[in-house]
This record gives sequence, C-alpha cells and structure tokens, in this order.
Amino acid sequence: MQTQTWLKTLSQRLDIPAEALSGAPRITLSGDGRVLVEGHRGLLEYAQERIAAAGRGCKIIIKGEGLRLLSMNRHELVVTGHLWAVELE
Amino acid sequence: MNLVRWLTGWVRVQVTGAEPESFLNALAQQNVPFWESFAPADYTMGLTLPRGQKNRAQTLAQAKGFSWCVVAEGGLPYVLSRLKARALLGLLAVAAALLFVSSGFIWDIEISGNETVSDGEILQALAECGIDVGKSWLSYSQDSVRNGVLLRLPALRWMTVSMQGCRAVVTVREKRTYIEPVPEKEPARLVAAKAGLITQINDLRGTAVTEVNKTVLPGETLVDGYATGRLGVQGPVRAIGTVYARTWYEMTMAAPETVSVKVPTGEKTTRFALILGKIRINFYKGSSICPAECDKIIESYTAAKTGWFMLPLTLEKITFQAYTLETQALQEGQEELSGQLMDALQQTIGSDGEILSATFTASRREGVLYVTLHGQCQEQIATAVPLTEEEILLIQERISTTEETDP
Repeated sequence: MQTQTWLKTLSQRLDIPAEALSGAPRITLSGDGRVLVEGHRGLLEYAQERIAAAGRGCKIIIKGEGLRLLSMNRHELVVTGHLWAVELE
Repeated sequence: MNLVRWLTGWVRVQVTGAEPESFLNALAQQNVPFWESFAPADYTMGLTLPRGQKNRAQTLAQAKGFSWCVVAEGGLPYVLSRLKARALLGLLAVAAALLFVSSGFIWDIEISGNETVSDGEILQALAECGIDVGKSWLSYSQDSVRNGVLLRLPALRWMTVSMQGCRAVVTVREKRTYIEPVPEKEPARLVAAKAGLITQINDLRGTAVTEVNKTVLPGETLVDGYATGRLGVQGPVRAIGTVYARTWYEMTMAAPETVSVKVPTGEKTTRFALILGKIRINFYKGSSICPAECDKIIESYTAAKTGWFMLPLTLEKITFQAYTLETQALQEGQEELSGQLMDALQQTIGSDGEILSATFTASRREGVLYVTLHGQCQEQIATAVPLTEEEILLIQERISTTEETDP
C-alpha cells in the first residue's frame, strides 16, 4: 500500500497519468450508455442492475438498468446499458 | 456484430451456475474473447463466442461446474455448410433429372463388322432412317431402320441396331465377292513370268519346250499344253509343273540426308470446351485452329460409365504445344534403306523365292542419299496361260496327222 501511495505521489509530482506508474484503473464514460474500464483485475459481481470489477486498490461499481458486458478481456471491459452511477470503493 | 466476427462464425451460449462472473474472469485470463454478455437471471448468463473458441470455452465452463447450452450459431462458416449440403442435393437432383431425360436419346453410335463400307456411309444412311446422335430412340423401329439402311447400302447383306443405354450398337455384315475359279481342266501352257536363266524344270503334265541353262524372256513358253508319248502328240492338256530360274534385280531407294525434328519449346496453351449433345460451348476466345508450328492435342472426358449410363456431356481439353523444327542428320540412313530394299526384294520374289546374293551401292546427290540393290535370286517363274482356240486346233491337227501316219 505504501508503494502505491508513493507511486501516486510521484505521478502527481511528475505530472504524468497515474495509471502509467501505479496501474490504477482508467474509467471512460460515454454518455450514460457505455463505460470502458481499463486496467481491471477481474469481475466481482455481475447482474443486470449492478456490475462490480476489481481495480488496483479499489473496487469499481457500475449501477444501472439492463446492464450488459459488451466485451471483456484481461485488460479492459466494456459495459453498456442505462447507466445510473459509477462508484469507487 | 462486426464483419470479422460474422466471417469467422459465432456461437451464442448460455451457462448456468454459481458466480457466473468467475467464468467470465476465467475466459479473460485465458484470452478467450467473448462479447454481448448478458445476465437474464441469477446464476444464468448468456454470451457470444467465436466459433473457433467454442470447445475451449466449454472445457473451462465444465471445469468450473457450469452447465453449458448452445443457443444459436451463425456466421459465414455455418451459411456455407448449409449451402454446401443444399448444393450437393441440388446437383444430385439435376444429375438424376439429366440421366432420366437423356436415357431416351441416342448419344453415341458404335459400328462394327464393316470392312469396305465406311463408318461415314453407314452413319449417313442411319441418319436418313432416323438414327442419329441427339435423336430419341423410343419410337424407332428395328425393321424399318434395317430395311432403309440395306436399301441405301447395297454392299451390306445384314444389319442390326440394338440399344445399350444411350449407345446405339450397329452391327453389319457385308456381301462377299467370290472370284470365279479357273476350270482346272481347261487346256493351258506354262510361260515365263520373268526373264531368267533356267535352273530346274519339273513338268508334271505337258511337254517342256525349254531346257536347263537356257535364258528365257517374259511370255516365252516353258511347258506347252500338250502331252507326248509313244504314240506321238496327245492332248491338248493343262500343263502343270514348276520351272525355277535364276533372276537378277536392280532396285533403288532414296532418302533425304537430313530430317526435320520437332523440338518442344515448353510453351503450352490449354483451352477448354463443353459439349452438350451437339452444342459446343467454348471457354475461350477466337478459333481452335492450331497456330503455325504447334501441335494440337485434344483430350475428351465424357460423363459416362461404360455399360451403365451415358450423359450428353463431354469436357474437351485442347492443348497447343509449341515446337521448333530443327534439322538433324539422318543417322544409319544407308542401313535402313538397305533393309527396306531387301524386304522389297523378298516381297517381289515371293515366299518360295530365295535371294542368292545381294550387293549395295550408295551415292549422294543434292542432299539425297540413293542406295541401289543388285540382287541375284532363284525363284519359280512359270505361270499358266490358257490355250487359245487356234492353238488347240493346231494341236488337234497334229494329233490327227500322227494317227494317219501311224500304221
């Protein structure tokens, strides 16, 4: 955890993207119908109203209605549906 | 669904089990792509996989305790497999229909038994009587065809037409011409057929009028057609006997000293044509006339099984093979000509003749090789010639003269 904090601090000081050094997930929202999660660590929950994925040091929760996992591989996943919220825990 | 996924084919599956997300994680870890995943109910999940990854994904699902069910399949490979089955059925149906329809027609005519009358004459007569390639044989009458052909071709004495599938087998027999035998008792004399030196006379009947070591010319009488005995001249008779003589021959043959030999250049052009009955479909432009210095090789493949069936379908493969003419010296030309001359000489003197000696001389003039044979042979030269009425009367006069002078 200390290493993660140190990498996060370093990336802030050097003004470079955090995911480049620390492997933090990058989440890209396209309106309220599509979300791209890069750098995930696997699915934790999968339902039509809630999809949760593990990230480095956090948990990404996507809430919505009629959620679908459009595609997924080792590095990224795409979720479509009517999005209500994207939360980090 | 994008084009690549459609081209490679896809499989829509539904898996059921606890924590379906663990199955998705396993697929992602194993680099098995999937898309359009949807969870319609708890413990149930649908997803689409590439066709090639189906077995791998099924193994993973079974390893994790999920039940596996294929819901749908699609894409180009499945379309092609369905089309392939349909195309095969369609081809079989077309072939069966063709076979059924074509079995009522004549697609080939086979002629046998003719020696002097040509196939073309027989085919022409058959066509005039309704038997031709492409015509129906269902309504033909064996008797009317036979009568029609025999009337048109007087040289034939018998014929029959039988159908073997789509092949009309025509068997003919020709009239024979008999040579009138010469009456054996007709008075005749033996004359020399060739010039020669007499070496042996065997006069079994008749009177020899020549002797051994005497030279005779063609047409000269050797054994006359009357017999002689103690009572003088008797006859006329048919002279029988053999007269052997030594004969000489000079024969010349010529051959060019060089010959033109075809040497393939390796350049080949292949063309195809389809023949449906009498209709020809060329799969090439222009004519099929062979260009200069080019061999034309035609190979035909007919859709037929001998004795079973025959379809009016022939694929013709035409190959043009280019060559150049190269002049080469004719090796062993003299030996070859000498052999041919010996054969010709043996043929001239017949099988009972004997070649006693043969010498060859060769000369070359203007690129041509001349070989001359000088041969000495021994052969039978006597041949029978019927006596004329005057000769018979003359012999009869001699008989009466002998009877008058005899006491």
